[in-house]
Amino acid sequence: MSKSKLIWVALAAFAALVGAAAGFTVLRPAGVDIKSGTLLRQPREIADFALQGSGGKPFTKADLAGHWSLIYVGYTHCPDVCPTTLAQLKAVEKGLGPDAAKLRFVFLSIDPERDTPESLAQYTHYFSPDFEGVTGPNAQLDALGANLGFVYQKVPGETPQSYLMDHSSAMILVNPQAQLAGYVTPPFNTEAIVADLRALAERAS
Amino acid sequence: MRRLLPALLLLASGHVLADGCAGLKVEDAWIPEAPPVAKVNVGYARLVNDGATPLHVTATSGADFGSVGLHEMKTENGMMRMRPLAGLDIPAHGSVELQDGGKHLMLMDPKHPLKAGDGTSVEFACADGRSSARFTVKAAP
Repeated sequence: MSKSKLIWVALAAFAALVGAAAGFTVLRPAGVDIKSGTLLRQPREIADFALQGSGGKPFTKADLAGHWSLIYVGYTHCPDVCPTTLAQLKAVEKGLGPDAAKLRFVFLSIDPERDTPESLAQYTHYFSPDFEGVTGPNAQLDALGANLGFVYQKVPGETPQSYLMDHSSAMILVNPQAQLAGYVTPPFNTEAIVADLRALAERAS
Repeated sequence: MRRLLPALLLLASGHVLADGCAGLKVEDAWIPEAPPVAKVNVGYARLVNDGATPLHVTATSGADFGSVGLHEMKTENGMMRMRPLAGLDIPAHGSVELQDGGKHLMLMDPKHPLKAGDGTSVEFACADGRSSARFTVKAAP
């Protein structure tokens, strides 16, 4: 390769690099950086779903509209991390003070076999009367899981009733348009979650 | 039978079998208060082996529970997984922590809701025998 040809190749490569960088900067949508997890660059639509909330009343996509929601996936036969996380969400709610009214906290049970809407409501309200305990048929949970990006799996135990449930550890953020907005990922830090939720709630209002 | 007789006598006299596991000490044993509707409680403690030989410990029963067991919690690939443990191996002059997000006692089917301030006992077994430990129920932090 001649010297002049080499210069042209180098220049072309440089131009391509500058162009790519500029394009990247321009195309990258504005987002909010959060300390407690990740926000999607583009919120994702959620298909309608039919679950049951407190006292068996319907809980659908409409219940996620008009406010930010933080959804925690778990089950009540999980004695360790689920109550610890719910207690932490209680601290988050307290930390938010009056701003907590702008958000909904949802405990989504992926164990409808053992968690009835009634027992789930009692369990969830032990932590806060404002927390919503939600569950429903597996087909509905599976479809919602595909939309929200959570998975769960039943693991047989020693007896038919002592099975365990593996479940996604991340909490799910849903925006006031009832779209998947992002995730809060472990290890959960109460102060970081409070700061992020407050910023998101203010952005929405 | 020679070993069993003192144990039987103790039982007959209403004593709790204690220190059956030579060297085992159960420290900071507590149960976070759970929602009254909860079907499973969790127990945390530090199991210390003061002896010169390793101990293999299992949890066998609890005074206020249908059954008890040992579990381990792990977060792998974004999934929370809980698995039963066959037992705990405590090295000589060592200890094992039962704590939030790690190994813990599964206290299943509580016979009545346990409130902060309550106490209950859990029995552990090892090759030598059985030891009973007192657990205190505390408000969850």
